[in-house]
Amino acid sequence: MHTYDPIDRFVAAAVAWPDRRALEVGSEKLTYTELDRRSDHLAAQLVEQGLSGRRVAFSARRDSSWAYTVFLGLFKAGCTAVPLLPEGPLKRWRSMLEGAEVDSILAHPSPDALEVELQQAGREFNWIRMSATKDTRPFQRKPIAPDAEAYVMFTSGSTGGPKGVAVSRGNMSAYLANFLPLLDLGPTDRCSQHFALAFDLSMHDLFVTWSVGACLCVNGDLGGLRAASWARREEVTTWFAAPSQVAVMRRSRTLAQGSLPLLRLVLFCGEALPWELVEAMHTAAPKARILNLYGPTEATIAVTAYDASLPTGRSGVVPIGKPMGENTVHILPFDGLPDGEGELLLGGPQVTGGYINSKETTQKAFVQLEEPKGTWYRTGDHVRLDDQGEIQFIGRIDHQVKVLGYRVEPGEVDEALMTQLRGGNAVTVAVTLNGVVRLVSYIDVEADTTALHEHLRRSLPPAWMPERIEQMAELPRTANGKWDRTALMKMARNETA
Amino acid sequence: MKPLELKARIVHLLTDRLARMGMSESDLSDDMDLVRSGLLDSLAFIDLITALEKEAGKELDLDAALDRPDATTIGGLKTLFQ
Repeated sequence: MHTYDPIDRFVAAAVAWPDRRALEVGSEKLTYTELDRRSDHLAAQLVEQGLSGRRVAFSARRDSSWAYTVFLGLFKAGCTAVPLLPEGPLKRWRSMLEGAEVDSILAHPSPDALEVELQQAGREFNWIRMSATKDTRPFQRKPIAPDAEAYVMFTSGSTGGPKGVAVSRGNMSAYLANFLPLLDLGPTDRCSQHFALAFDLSMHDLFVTWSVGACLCVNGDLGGLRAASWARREEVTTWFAAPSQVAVMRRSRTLAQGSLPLLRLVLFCGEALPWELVEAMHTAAPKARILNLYGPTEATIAVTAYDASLPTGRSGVVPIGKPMGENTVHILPFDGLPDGEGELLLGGPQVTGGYINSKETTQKAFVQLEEPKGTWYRTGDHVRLDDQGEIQFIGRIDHQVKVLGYRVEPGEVDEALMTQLRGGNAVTVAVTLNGVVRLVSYIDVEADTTALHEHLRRSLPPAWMPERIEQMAELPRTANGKWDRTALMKMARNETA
Repeated sequence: MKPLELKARIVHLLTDRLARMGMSESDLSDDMDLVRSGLLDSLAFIDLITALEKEAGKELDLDAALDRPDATTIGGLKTLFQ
């Protein structure tokens, strides 16, 4: 197949393997023909309502086939998908809808409490109520331009709330073209779906699977507690998850020797990957190739890959490898650092147009260079090239952290806290406990911490919640007057241990 | 560990978490799901199980235990640690 457009690939798979399973979620099992017809039906209605080329939001719940059909329907109709994290909270949904200038929302056929709340509070929106049922409406698909927006997904911003990244259809096609040859999957594969649909690693799950005629198996369980027994029951052959999910599986002693014999490909992305997790996965799934992928939403899903299949007995963190396909990388040197070390810049066809709601942030993060010439996305990741020419992640040049796979700017937590502190300061730091990152917030005024936690729950998703909020008479500063985060991290570690 | 004791142990181990959710012991019913309710994430739940195992001096077959639909409720934990 010559095309890498995600919808062209899906439709071709539906022609080649009409009766093969495309999606299994809960008790629902859909063939390619069924999923194709249902999404055609949805796309026809979207086009009828004049929504092609418009952004359409929806609560991206993973408990039924609905959101999966919605992605296909929106892409077929040439709409931009704006998936919202089902956990909310409502306030954050509001800021995303505003940031993305969305006026149309697809109403879920059986809305949960949060959606009902939004429907009642958000009467100004155009609520699209349509069925994704078995009836079929004929749909004439039109080609979609590569620069058309495919989806908008939000990442944490250190100031000014979440930032919406617009990813084009061409960016998605480039990802598939760059990564499908590496993954080597086919129609007999059964691929896991663990990632939240509001985050772009889920786009790998859906469109890699449907590009090759494989079956997408949705694990609706929370955070990996039952993931191993689920994978055995569902006879999953391809696994894609954040390292922290596998850390949960290891700590819950569910990764026994040979316990995942059918896995032939294991992919990690979203966080730094410790070698010890590779070893644990290798023990459980001895036949599996293990790849570590790396990439930010701003450069579409993943950009580099490293093959970690052969146990090396190494400790520390697995390299993020080399750029795949037409992707390019450049390491921008810092003053005083050795050669081959600096900030990682990404170039090539997967680099997106930037943030829809912040021109200034886009200009800072997406830069033009004369040498090497082109547009580059500044990742903020501090890396070095190792002696094999593989890129090794060292840390962040800012304070961004990953919590259970979610990218969190502690500044966003501070900003939310400070709206309640009447001039007081808040500094949130990350500590690693039992191999998992947790947040602790420090404030320098007296406050009702229960009320502050409540305020945070109404403002930010669960992964953003600090483990504790501690009051201090004064927050420590460094010699040059900045917050002394190192001192706070040390305190957080000592108090939590 | 007796069922009543177990609940008290859970409340003790989750003091910080309960406080931050503005919850008290009386909010914890036997059928409340500790993970789905948002009180604990998956790792915090495993931390809780590990702490309870240590106190009970008993190691569970977690693969089988976690497969029980009620494994993440207080009632389910009472059954597991009986």
